[in-house]
Amino acid sequence: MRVTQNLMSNRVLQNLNRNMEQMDKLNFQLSSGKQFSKPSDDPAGVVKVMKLGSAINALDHFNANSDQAEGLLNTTEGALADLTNIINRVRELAVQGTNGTLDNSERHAISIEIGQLREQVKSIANIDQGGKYIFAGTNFNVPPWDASKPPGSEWQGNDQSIKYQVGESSFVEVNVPGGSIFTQAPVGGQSLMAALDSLMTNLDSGNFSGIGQGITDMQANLENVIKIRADVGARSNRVDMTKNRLEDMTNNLQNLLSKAQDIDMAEVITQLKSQDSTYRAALASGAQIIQPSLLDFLK
Amino acid sequence: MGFFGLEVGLRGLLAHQKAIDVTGNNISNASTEGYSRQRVDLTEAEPWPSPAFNQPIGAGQMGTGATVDQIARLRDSFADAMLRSNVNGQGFWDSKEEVLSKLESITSDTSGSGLTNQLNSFFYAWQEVSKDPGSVNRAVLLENAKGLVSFFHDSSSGLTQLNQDTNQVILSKVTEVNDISAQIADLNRRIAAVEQGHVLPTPTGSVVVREMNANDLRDKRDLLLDRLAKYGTISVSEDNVTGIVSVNMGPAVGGIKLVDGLVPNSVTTSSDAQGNVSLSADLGRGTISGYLAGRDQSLKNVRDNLDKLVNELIVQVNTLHSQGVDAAGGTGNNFFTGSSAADIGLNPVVSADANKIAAAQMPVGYPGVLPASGDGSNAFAIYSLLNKLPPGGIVDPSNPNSDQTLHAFWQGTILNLGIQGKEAIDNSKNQELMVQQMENRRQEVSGVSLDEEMTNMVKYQHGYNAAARVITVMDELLDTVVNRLGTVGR
Repeated sequence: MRVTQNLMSNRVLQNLNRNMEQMDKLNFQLSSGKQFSKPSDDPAGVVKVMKLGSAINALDHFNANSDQAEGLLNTTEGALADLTNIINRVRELAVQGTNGTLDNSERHAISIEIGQLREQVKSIANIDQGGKYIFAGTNFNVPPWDASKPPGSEWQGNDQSIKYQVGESSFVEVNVPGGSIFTQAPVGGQSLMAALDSLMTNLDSGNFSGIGQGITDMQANLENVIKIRADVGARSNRVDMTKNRLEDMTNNLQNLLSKAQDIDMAEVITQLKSQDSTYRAALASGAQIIQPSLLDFLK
Repeated sequence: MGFFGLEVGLRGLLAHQKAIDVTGNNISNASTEGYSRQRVDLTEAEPWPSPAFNQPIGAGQMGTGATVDQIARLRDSFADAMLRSNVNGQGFWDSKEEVLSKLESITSDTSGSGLTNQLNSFFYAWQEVSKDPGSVNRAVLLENAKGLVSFFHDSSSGLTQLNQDTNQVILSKVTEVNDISAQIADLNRRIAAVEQGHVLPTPTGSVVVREMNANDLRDKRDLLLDRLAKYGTISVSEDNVTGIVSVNMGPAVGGIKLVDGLVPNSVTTSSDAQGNVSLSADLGRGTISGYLAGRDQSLKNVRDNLDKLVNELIVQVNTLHSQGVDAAGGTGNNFFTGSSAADIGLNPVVSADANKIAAAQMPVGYPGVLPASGDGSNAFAIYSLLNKLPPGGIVDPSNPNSDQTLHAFWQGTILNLGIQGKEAIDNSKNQELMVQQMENRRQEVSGVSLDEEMTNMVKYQHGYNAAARVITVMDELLDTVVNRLGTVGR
């Protein structure tokens, strides 16, 4: 084979270029921490990363939704706990009111206290979280209990449930339509609001059978609220579990994503080092080989 | 015998002088692109006396020195042909890769600002509206929708720009081809003027006798042919007598006779309404067809898919949106206008007033019954389009069984683009290696080796010095004869 200076320097250049290209690629990987930057680097890998990215994005939203759902359910739970206490207190007061030794003014005092508790019940019915009235169904932009409306039609909320998406196909109800608590009659009694009203009237008028009915009503409402609380608690638990699961899934996917797109530092650094020494060797031998010709030895 | 030794010495001087000239030319062209090294072919001059009927009696024929037979150009025509039939592949993949890599940067989806994220932001904004159709979420949705629209506009104009750029490049490459064709025809004329041989009949057939070789002009012509070979498939045929080459480009049918002897032909171009350039002839595989393939396959595919996706998005969102009820109790408004990535827009009615976003579904008894203020069921239905389009919606032709979501469709497009890009890069690298090898093979034959030239120079210098010495000796001999002989007793 006939070898010429040009041929040799071309080859040296080609090899140096190839080395540089490799170094550039490794250097990019090292500085970006990613295995690839464009689809043609690894088509399947890029699409995998896109899919994982979308899935993680979706999980993030489900996670945010469950956080919000948890907040709403906790507020509801707290409100219902308060309501339980109030109903208990009303029942105690009603039991006191049945005591025949009380005179009218004392019963009236009880009635006044129940009146105050009734105001508390109304304010519980109008509890909002961030401007959303939690007991108003989907009509949550207006306070559900509007005292300015004629008696019997004060309730502005509806019975619609609000569902948040916490998984690809799993939803959780985040509200309790307040009608079932405040204005609809539970089994074995009349509705809470109506019961409070008639209890006050009966206390004022000393209608003992009415007061007795009031105690039954309170009992029925208490059971109703406890039942609803249990349901809310169960949903809250479910959201909790969902959150844990979402976190696990997110972690899993993050791991997969990292495996798909991140480099193995140690490996790339090793490769870069070895490429670097190849490059240096090529430079050194190139410098040795290109320089001399017969010219250097002719006088 | 006579003193023709002087003449022999002179011939030696002249022959070596010429050889040194050629060596010098080789050295000064050692780095010239396309140069083929030249060699002086020295040959013995006609001996004396010539064989003849009345030849004088003597010991035999005497040599009469050396003459230069020809200055030969060292070239491997097989390596030329191999190189030219492979370099067009490199041209093809290089230019296709150029288009693809620009496409990749336009559709870039790995940086977190691509279509996937824009779609996600848009649809998750709908989900937020579905949870609470209040003014804040509506405003956020509008902003995201505007972002999505301007993303589509940017992508579309990026693709249009790339299409225009590609057309420009094709035009300039065609101009170069025509330019080269004219130059080759001109060189043909000049080479023929130098080389025009004579056909001598012999008993075994005819031979072509040439006076001179147009070495340097041939180098130039070969260089142009090499360049031309990158642009398309060429076949070259040379006329033995005149040294004129004719060049065909492209397939036998549909191609063009680019250089017809002394007449250059031009490839002409025409543009259609979209400004897409088409050529008057098929130039075969090469740089130009690479750009054409990039434009007509890869770029068009991405653009078609993007438009398809955008159109599907517009149709599906509008269908649901126009059936929903907005915050003011109105219905029947579209959300988007337009039908492609270039002309998609927000319905001005909606973009001017976020309350016109139809977040609620139409209740039974509408318009007598209005939906609750917090009803976001229609917004949720629109959000659900992200993961589930109605059957018969968008279908990726390359993957008809894929789950038909917007994401999957776009991922298919990106995957396809990536595979094409990888193919182009790999092939371009392979072809480059192959072309390099052939280039090296050609250099083996035609390249100037400085060691060799220096050796030759030393050799010829010695020869020249020795020939000069012969003349000196002859001079002394003549001096003896002319000046010293017969001077006895003077």
